[in-house]
Amino acid sequence: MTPTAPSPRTLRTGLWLSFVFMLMALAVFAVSLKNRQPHRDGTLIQVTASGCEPARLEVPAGQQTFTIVNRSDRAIEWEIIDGVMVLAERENITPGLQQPLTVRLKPGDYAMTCGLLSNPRGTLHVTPGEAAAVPETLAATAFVGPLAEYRVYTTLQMRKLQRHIEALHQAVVIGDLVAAQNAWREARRIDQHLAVPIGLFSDLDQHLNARADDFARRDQDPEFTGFHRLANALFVTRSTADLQPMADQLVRDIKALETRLADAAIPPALLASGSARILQAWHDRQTSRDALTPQALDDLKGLTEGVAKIVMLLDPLLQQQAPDTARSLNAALATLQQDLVEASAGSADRHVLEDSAALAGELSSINHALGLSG
Amino acid sequence: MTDDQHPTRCPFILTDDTALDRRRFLRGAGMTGLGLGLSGLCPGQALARLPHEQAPHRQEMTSAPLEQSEQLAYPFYGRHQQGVVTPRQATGMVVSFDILAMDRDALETLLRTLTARIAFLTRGGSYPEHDPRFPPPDSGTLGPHIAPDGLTMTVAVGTSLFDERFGLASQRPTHLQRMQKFPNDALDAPRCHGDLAIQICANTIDTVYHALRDIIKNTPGGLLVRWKQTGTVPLLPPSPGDLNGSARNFLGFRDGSANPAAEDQPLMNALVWIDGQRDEPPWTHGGSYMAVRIIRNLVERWDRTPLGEQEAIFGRRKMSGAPLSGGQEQDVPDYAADPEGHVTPLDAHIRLANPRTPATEKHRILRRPFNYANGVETNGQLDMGLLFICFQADLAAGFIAVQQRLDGEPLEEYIKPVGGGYFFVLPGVTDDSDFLGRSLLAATA
Amino acid sequence: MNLRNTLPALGALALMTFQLPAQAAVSPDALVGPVAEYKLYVLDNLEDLVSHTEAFTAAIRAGDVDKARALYAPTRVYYERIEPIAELFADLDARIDAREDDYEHGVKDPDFTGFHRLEYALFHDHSTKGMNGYAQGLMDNINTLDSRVQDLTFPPKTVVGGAAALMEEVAATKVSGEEDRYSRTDLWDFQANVDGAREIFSLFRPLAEQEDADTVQRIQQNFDHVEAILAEYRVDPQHPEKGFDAYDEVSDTHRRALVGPVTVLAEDLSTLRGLLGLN
Repeated sequence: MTPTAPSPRTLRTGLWLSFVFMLMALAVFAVSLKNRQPHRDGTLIQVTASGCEPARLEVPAGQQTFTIVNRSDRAIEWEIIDGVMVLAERENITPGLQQPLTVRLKPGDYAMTCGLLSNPRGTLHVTPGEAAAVPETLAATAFVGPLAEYRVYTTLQMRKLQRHIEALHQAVVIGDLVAAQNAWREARRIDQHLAVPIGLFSDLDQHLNARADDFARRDQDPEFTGFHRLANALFVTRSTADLQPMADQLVRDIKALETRLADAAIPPALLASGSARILQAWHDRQTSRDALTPQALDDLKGLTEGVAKIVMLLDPLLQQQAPDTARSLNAALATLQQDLVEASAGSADRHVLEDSAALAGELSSINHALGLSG
Repeated sequence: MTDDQHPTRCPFILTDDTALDRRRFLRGAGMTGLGLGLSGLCPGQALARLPHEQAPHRQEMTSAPLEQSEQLAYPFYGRHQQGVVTPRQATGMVVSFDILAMDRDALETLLRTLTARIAFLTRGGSYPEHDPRFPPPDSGTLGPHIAPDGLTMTVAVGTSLFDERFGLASQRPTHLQRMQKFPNDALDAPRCHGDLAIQICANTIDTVYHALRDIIKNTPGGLLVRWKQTGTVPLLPPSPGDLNGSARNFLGFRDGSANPAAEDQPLMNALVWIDGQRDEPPWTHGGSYMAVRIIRNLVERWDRTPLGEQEAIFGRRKMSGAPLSGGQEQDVPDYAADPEGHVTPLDAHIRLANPRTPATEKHRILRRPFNYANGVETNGQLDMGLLFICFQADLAAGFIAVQQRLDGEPLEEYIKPVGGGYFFVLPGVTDDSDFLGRSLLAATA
Repeated sequence: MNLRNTLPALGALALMTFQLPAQAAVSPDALVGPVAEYKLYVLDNLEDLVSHTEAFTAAIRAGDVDKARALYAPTRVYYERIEPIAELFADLDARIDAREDDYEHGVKDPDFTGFHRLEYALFHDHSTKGMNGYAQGLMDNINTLDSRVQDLTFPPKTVVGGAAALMEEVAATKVSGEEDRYSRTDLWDFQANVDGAREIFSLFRPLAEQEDADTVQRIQQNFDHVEAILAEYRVDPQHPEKGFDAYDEVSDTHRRALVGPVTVLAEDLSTLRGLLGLN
């Protein structure tokens, strides 16, 4: 095993080559120091022995690059401070050299450290420039989680709805009016929770939720089925007589709804626009009346519970994209929920009417904030 | 030693002249079937470190490593595997695996995969571009470009590979056996034996671990790590006029002074490599036996032992490494003049291990050990010692005979073998159509 | 079962190295259904977890050691199946499923609670003495977990990545037999982790198949392979609810036979997120 020993000449050549390379590297380095391109280096800050120059900076929000030049005689670090938190920093900048720092900034006021701790801090004012107005596009998969969770919600609500509808059917068959009334109330509440997805299927929506007024022969119309038809009998006529065909039809419609919901792909934009639409529809129907019926109030409670689930699902995305919109949306929902607790049927209290319209208005603005069309 | 065992070196360093060197390089590249461009083998950073290659007077296997260039590449293809007579690198590991493959086809797939990975890793290069959506193909611990860094990976198989699983029983190497407990051993079962072992050595531990993780990543369902032990060789730059002494073990003694010369090809053929002269199945030709022992040194106790006693136990001067009979490290002690053991005690380690008589010549083994340091025992004492590795053509006449002579030696009070195993180093891979273990599978087909 | 049928496990070897899959074409919309299905699966298991934990902790409070021992493994199954989600709540996971090794003072550590603390009492001390507090704590923590998961929007990445995470769990703690070291009921947990991983895989399989049919095929075979070995250790194959033999009884050959497909599953399933475009 005789290792190949390079000849002295080889060694000399190698050394010579490495010397040339070192010279070239030094030259490149020197050029890089001199040839500063302001637009690429962003904002230039010189740190001297006594502080930052300039000591006050203003930049637009978004991604910003700062180039820190150390004009002092000792190694320094440069930091952007938000309150007590260090937002970004560049450490160990050698005297005479410069270092870039790129950071994404939100609008607001920040402090800059400027070399020695005893030096006065600089101020950095970030204006809400154009960059801040355009929300970043959400990843294509951002809505998978919320939509999946909404599907879980609808699936579980459907299970409950079926249980209540079966109980209702059973009570009608045996003629137990009180049990039928209770089951109807429970079922109706869930039906209202699901108002957004049910709205996808106009035929079923009509079967389930149409009112006597929608039909030529009003409550005598043979086409008039669903919750309101049953309500007429259970709460006005207060009888279960001859109701079984209606109950059978309801069971079939709910079954059909379950099948369709299982296959339905709800587009993300529908979560907000659908919620706005059902609240607006409720508002428009009630606004011309003198007082709210107990049923109208119960319906609004059900709708609000369903909408609250959707707001909860969209909130994390909204917080990220448009925190102000999120704040006013949550406030509008909270106001409606609070007023619903205090509202009583028949009173002249019209707060919930205004609240529902206000919430519908908030909801109709969020698709834009989420970068969705619809 | 044949040409194909020579490391290929960066042509930049050789550009000056020497058609000879270029020829050698080209021949080496041709033989390895790499067909790589020169630039791939030799990135510019090779310039940063000129390997200090003053030809040592006597570079022994157990000398401190001299060659540290990260562009150092030992050719993978050849009659023998690398890592046996290859100069000892600064770091080494023995990793032992259980083979999870359950039949011959799966075993062949595994061996082909191992061959391909080792061919790549020991030559260096780049991994395919990473798709950020998927786990990367490489641990990335060496960055985007893998330098060979003197890496060798020596694949050997244990006797358990020849059980009923793969139908290999009829072709088991004659001397391959399960390591039996010697009287002083305190073998720890989880650190013993294995179906397959790889000795991984390189200039830096980073390269060793990168190679191990590459193997694990590429053999899921094929290999399961059973145990591993890493070790290092102290780096002792030779001083002017000094003999290039053997590196020291953790007992402070030079280890390997009497090692046979690895560059002496006829001697290696006689002591290390298996050929047609031996009573072995033909598929084994070009292979060797590897004995691995994890030998814990009770260093605290050793450090509380008088120097004279330490020297008597080893049979050498601690500082110079010279035999107690005088001279220098490489001088042969004159036992004939000292039959009673007045100068070198009869039970001194070196005297028992190598009595230096014509009759014991055939027991000589090629040692390639590393020092290890693992951590702390529950009693607060250091868990460190010797990762003993040796190669021989006849395991019974080699390590086993030597160890039997050592049984009961005074050194036993300070050492405790706790793990290891016996393995058979597979013959080398001759070209890119060959693979590790091909001759074994063919012999049992 | 056929232990020699390991080709699917090793088929991975050749593919692994130079794999550069095509750009994922899976539409995010297609992920909504499987993610929702998975939450329903988790909710079902949580319901069972709550009811089984009620029975298990009641037995402890009643001082019925034999009954509590019998209920230990069947109760844990529902936790082990949904581990990728349960683990999202690090505080609860530590209180419910930590092992003594996680604590500086081992079993004596006052912070060591949950299933494995009770396991130590039931299977090592053969006693429920002083365990009422731990039993009540476990029940409370399971109830908290249940209510937190109800409101949780499942992160799709966690769901899809959960399959690989479960197999990593198997590879790291089940094969070695350190999970249930006193009760030796590791195979129950093993099977439950495999169930949980397989559920995720099955839900996303049609989508993954469009991207890489070979990998999907190999995953399927390795799941079959692992389950075939596990089935050999069922107390009564006709009655899965009777569970498994003690882990000590698994032969070394079978332990090694399990490691292979489990490792390949962990490797293959680690590509599932990428295949489905979830990064």
